[in-house]
Amino acid sequence: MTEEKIPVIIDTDPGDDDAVAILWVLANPRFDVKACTVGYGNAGAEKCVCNMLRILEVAGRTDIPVYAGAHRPLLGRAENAAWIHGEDGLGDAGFPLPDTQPAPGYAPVEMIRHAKESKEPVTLLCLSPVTNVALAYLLDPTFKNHVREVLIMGGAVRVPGNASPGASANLKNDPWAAQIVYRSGMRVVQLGLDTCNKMTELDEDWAVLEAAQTQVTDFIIRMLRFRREQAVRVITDQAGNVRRLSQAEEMPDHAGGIGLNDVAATAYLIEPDWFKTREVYVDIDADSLCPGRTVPDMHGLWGKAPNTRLAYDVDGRAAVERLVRDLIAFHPVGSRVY
Amino acid sequence: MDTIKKIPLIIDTDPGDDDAVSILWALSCDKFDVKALTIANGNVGLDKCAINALRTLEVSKRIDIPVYKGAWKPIMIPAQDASWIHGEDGLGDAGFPLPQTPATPGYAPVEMVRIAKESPEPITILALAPITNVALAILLDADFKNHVKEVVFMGGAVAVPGNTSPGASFNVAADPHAASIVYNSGIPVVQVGLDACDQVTQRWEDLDEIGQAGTAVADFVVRMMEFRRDKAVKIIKNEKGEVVACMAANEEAGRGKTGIGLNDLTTTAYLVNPGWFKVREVAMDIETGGLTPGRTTADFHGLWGRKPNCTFAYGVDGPALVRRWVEDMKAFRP
Amino acid sequence: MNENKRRAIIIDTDPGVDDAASLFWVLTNPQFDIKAITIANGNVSLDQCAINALKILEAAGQSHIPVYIGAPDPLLRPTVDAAWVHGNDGLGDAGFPTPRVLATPGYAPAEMARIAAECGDITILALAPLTNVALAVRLDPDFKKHVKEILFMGGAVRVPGNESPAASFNPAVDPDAARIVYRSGIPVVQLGLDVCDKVREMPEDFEKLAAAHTPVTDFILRMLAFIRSKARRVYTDESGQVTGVDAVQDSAGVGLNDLTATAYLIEPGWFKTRALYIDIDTAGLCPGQTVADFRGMWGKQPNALWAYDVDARALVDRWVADICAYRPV
Repeated sequence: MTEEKIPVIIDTDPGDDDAVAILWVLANPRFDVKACTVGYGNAGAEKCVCNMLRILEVAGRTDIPVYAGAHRPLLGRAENAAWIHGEDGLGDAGFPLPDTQPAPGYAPVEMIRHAKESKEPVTLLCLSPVTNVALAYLLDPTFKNHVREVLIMGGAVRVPGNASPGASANLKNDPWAAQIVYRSGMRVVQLGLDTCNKMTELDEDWAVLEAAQTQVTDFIIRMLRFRREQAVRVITDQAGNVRRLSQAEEMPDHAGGIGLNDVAATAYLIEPDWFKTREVYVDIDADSLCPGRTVPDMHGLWGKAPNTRLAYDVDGRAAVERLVRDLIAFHPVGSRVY
Repeated sequence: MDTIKKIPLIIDTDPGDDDAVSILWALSCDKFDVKALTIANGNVGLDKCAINALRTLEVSKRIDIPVYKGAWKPIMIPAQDASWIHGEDGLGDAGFPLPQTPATPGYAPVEMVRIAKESPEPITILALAPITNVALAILLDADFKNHVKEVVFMGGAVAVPGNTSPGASFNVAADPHAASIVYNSGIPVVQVGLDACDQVTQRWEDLDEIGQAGTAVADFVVRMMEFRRDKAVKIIKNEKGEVVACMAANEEAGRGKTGIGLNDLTTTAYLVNPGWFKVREVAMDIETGGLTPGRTTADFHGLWGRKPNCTFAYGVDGPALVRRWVEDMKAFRP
Repeated sequence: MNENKRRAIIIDTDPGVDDAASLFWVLTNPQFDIKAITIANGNVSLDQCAINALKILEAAGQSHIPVYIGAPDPLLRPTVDAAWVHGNDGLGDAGFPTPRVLATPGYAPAEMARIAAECGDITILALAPLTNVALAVRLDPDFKKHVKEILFMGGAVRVPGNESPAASFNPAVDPDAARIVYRSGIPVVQLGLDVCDKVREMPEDFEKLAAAHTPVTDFILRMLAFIRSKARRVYTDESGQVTGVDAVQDSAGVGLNDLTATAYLIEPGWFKTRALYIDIDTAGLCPGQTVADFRGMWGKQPNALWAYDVDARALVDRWVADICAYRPV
């Protein structure tokens, strides 16, 4: 081996877009994925674990341990997003149950262990509410010293939220955990809706993927049929009037395709140069109209040193083209056919 | 043959002089099978609390009981301590030697879940500290709550003022979010807070009587209590940093220099003999924001339409409790 | 000009150098029937703000307009001022003489409600924290029916705040009042930092004012000397390290925010707006933040017109021209 691999722990709640993101990481041999720690979010915790195992089976990477973790936010209850991910979280495509089992141990505890055992500090790729990371921080005061940076799919600064007018779904689901992580002293890279909205997987990208007909692309195409064709968001106003929004209506930013937010965040792991970023202090509103809102202090009014690399722009086309290339070229050994 | 089944017990604690005497009392009773001491940051820092727990076990000759370190900070807010009443070292700065035994490896919340699940009977948790560890256990494992009979908690103030803010007692104020998680978890909580604790006084003559026993345990207790008895003073400052009041521990809660109030001991007494207490089933919730975070709000009129989640102790036979404690301490010769 | 066609307005203000620049602008335009100037606590203390309003009316030769003093403090929170921008006297510490007229007896929110009821169709130009307007809303249940719209200098949607990272000064000073007003049912036109940040008054604009050399331009230039040269706030961390510098002036001129808001009264055509539901955060990290529901997630009807773009040059040119042309009687 010539090059040192980058140690990564993926904290996730699969989720169809998590699945594509994780397959993208696994298609890149530069990354040493130490573990997948699973929370809740897109679906309930048990479904997310099941989906995580399915993804690793498709990728032929059942050697990577899967740990079950947080089943709920620190306070309150979990909400899922079945309207876009399907009831099972993977687009209700009828995938069989996985053959494999999660590894014993709690995700936050195993996250700490893997981080401490890693020769180099690990990168945390967080595609879900950050409850597991917050619990790891609360369990062990030295955990943060073993983390290089926390890449978070979450936040909305100059764009509206997707879970409330001011907050993105992952951070809204556990604003308290988010506040803990942002204030922890760990380096956060915020890969939120500001950049996710600028990265669109177009219909022609899907056509290219579909034509490839590999085990990986077949899985992805089947899984995303729900989101691409059926997903409808229902919003009810005070008078009880119901509005039904298709993906295209819901997300005008992604005209001609869809936006897979976890994939857009993962792009930073694949190639940070696609992004424009700024160092800034960011805090999380936990108790307000929009819990989970990211509040960046652009003018330094709070007198705090920057804790976050805030991504505000991205070359979305370059990222998607690379995604398509990598997925088509990914021919895993020992992959289970779904 | 042991005909009475012992109560499987985890003591979650932040010793703390009153925690230490509570642990001694629990160990002196045959009634309890103490599975572990789990340590939380609280009265003093986490490491000091662990040391004090180990010291207490060494005095009791019970180093077979594992001590697990847990939460090093509250869930959301910065740590605060209560060294003004417990001394800098948490045991009254009496110069006790360092313990020879170390803490057992493992995170307290994780071990708490393991022990609870391994126990054939649901366990009881005696919670004498900010309740961070129990909250983390609930967050780690969805099934944990099914293995816990009840949490007996030294915390809360309903009809009496708080001791840390006008509305909140120390253990709840020090981690209100953890308390909110525990009270809303579905695990039955027995709240033995300041409403009961303020009614109990360990008088000077009680402490003297223990001292006269001359045992190792008695010496440990009496030496440890000297600080609280004679020196502990809480200094209260205004916004400008000026001292506006000094509150001596031996005058707290209207005791007027007749003795001291060892709050954790009153809570422990509920497990020794629940018959000493007057209790009421009520829906209780925790304020996590507002003027006095950590305030325990009881819904006596059922206005919230919730089922009771809490056995609220509002009265106690203080003299009987203290008498029994004195007798048990005099007789405890491990 | 036909008296009936003049538009009835009340200006709620806390002068304030940019309030002053705005008041002069409205006073130069005869199409507005200024029924009253109501004084709110804000940039400097309430009494000082009232004195400044009277000074401005005197300089403009319009001392007949009544000035009513209102709430001395925000509804629930302690007072915050902005003397760092406006100088200790609120008018750039330029040493203007004490006015000869006095404020009119009467309590601003009550007078506001009375005048609104008498006119039936009043516009309120709100250049200060909204405490007075909120009190009027609470004093009179019919008040909202008598107000056509509130033009509010406040809010920050897509841009950072200037009082906290996410909140602008006026709603940050009294977020509870702002919430009452936004939820009152009265249409609000939010003329906040999203547009104000795009407008700069440049050195050449001030040169034109100086060349005109009228009593009003002299007053304005003397008043603005402080904000154009000295007004500056530095933010530091615990160790004294500078994390941010807020200067309202830079090489590109100064930003007189109230002027931008007032411009909507003069000519709405300069602005791009969007109808939205906007609510005010009263808790959290940045109380006073204006939260706009772009996607209709809260299922509420729009309560505000949010101004997000402005023709800055047209606005400033017109202000300069109007001020230069004005000759007080």
